[in-house]
Amino acid sequence: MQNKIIKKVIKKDKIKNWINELMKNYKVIAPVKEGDEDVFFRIIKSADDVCMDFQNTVLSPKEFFFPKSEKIFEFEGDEISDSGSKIGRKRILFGARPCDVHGLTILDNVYKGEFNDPYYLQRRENTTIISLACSEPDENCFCKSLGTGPVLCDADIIITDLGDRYFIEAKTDDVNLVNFDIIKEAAPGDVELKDIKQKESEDKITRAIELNKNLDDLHLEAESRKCLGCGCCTYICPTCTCFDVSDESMISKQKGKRFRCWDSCMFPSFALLAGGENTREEKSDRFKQRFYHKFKYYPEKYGKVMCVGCGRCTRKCPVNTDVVKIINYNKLDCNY
Amino acid sequence: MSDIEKNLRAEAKKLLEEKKVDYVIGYEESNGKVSPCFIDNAKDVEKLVFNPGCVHNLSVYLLEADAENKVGIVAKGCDSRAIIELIKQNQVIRDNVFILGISCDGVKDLLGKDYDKCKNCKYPVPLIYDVLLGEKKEGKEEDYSDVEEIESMSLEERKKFWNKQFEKCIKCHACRNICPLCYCEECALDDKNWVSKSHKFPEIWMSHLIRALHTAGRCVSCGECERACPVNIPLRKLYRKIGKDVKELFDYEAGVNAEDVPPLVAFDLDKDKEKIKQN
Repeated sequence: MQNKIIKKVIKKDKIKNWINELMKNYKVIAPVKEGDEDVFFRIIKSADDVCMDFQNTVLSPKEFFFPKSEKIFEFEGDEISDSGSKIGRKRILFGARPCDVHGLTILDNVYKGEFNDPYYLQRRENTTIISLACSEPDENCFCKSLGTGPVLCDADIIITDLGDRYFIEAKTDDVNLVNFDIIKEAAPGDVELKDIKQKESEDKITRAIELNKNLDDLHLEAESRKCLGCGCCTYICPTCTCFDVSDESMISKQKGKRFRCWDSCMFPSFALLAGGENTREEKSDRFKQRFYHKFKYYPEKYGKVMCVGCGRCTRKCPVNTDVVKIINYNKLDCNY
Repeated sequence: MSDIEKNLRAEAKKLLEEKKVDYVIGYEESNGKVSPCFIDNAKDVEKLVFNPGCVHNLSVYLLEADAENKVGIVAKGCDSRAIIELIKQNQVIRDNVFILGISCDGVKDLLGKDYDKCKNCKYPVPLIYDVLLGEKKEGKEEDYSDVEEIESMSLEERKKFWNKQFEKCIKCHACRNICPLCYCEECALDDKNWVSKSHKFPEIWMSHLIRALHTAGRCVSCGECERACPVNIPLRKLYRKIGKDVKELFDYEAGVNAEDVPPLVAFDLDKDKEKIKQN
């Protein structure tokens, strides 16, 4: 990285003031608590809504770059109106965990380069990311084995909890975002403490996924037996990119709209072709596809696996399908 | 090891050895988490567990069994209701299942918290079984206070409440796929002519309300939809409201009595018209 890193600190009780300053010029997306314990990313109306104390959000911030559904255009008769998604105010994604920031870089590979996806890219380019490092990763996290960790990521700014204050690392490009009276220069002791905290949270991550496994050796067929075939794992995944394009139209008025929405390889309709042929008719075929895409096809194309170790799929699967256990399966200890 | 677990393994072993079933659907545990498992071979019965982590309603897997398969299945009180209803709806042949009924003390989530369904469990002992493991016990009184709380809201408040919940929905269909009584081979929710794939209002309401009404008279209140929901929409409240209405209108409780005729079958427009009006 060419960028020099600016190191600062902010007292915890001043975080809201900082967010308020940011809200003057940006639309801020931040973690908000809903219900007893669930935290979701929301476009905030007040800095008071921001929750800084959470393990990870229920859903990754993916939907703010690749929405669940979005209008592409509208049509009436022969007329087609322009794209539904407009570039709005500049945005800040505040408080994304490092694994989820890593998730966006995995989406970038798909949506940028060979084919440029304007809807995704305009949101991505319009958004500055302030990541909140993890201090309490849980037993399902395995980010460290995938090249990032509870602190390390490709965010524009990373903040780390030091107890009564946060340590701020910002790229020089983003100096205006940390240039406020409430944010002070970091002392050498702060840098030292940050390194200690980083090491502490890294040590809390005990799970690791094995890379470069031959997937043909795994027991995917047996593991798929209990799979319910819902799309939970794919939709909560920060790296799943698949979508479908669909029309909503009123034939009588000759008008309607075209939109795209998330789609999941776990659904039977995903590989259904015109004429009724289905290339992945069986549940086990679809189950295997998810693993092969993430751990074979994507790496072959982009050089790294399509997983960030956030642990959401393992945490949320209604029948406790465990991605690490499945990938790490060793045919020599034959536990099946 | 609990007595229930010990007896469960012995029963499963016997079933498989005597070839009374092709496989047994039960629970296994790994890394402190319980998940459904399929035991095809008597030598594997040691994998079977029964403990407070065994929340899953395994009867959903009966829908995948071939017509010629004989299947052993572990069922708690709430799960057994789904089996009764599946038999009644001609989805499962009674003689093809061997039910290893378990008298249940309630199940808990990973944090050790009781599931809501257990707090007011009416039927801890299976209502149908071939062998019962554990002692018979009394269930609790019906308690619809969770539903009444929502019923007492104004229309606007209710709309706001559910809007906030449905906005979270990602349409992963975990609620549908985990539901043993959602056995349709073709689902209206997958047909964009019925429901658009959009996540926006009002489509998102349509998805949930179609399913809620469609499971009326079938939902056995096992709460699996709510547990499976990754974004924690309190779906059980919605389905229990439907269950409560069905009970009040038709005096029918799904999956309780094998002899009761489902309301959609028994409904007589002329006879029941007045009753519906009054409600």
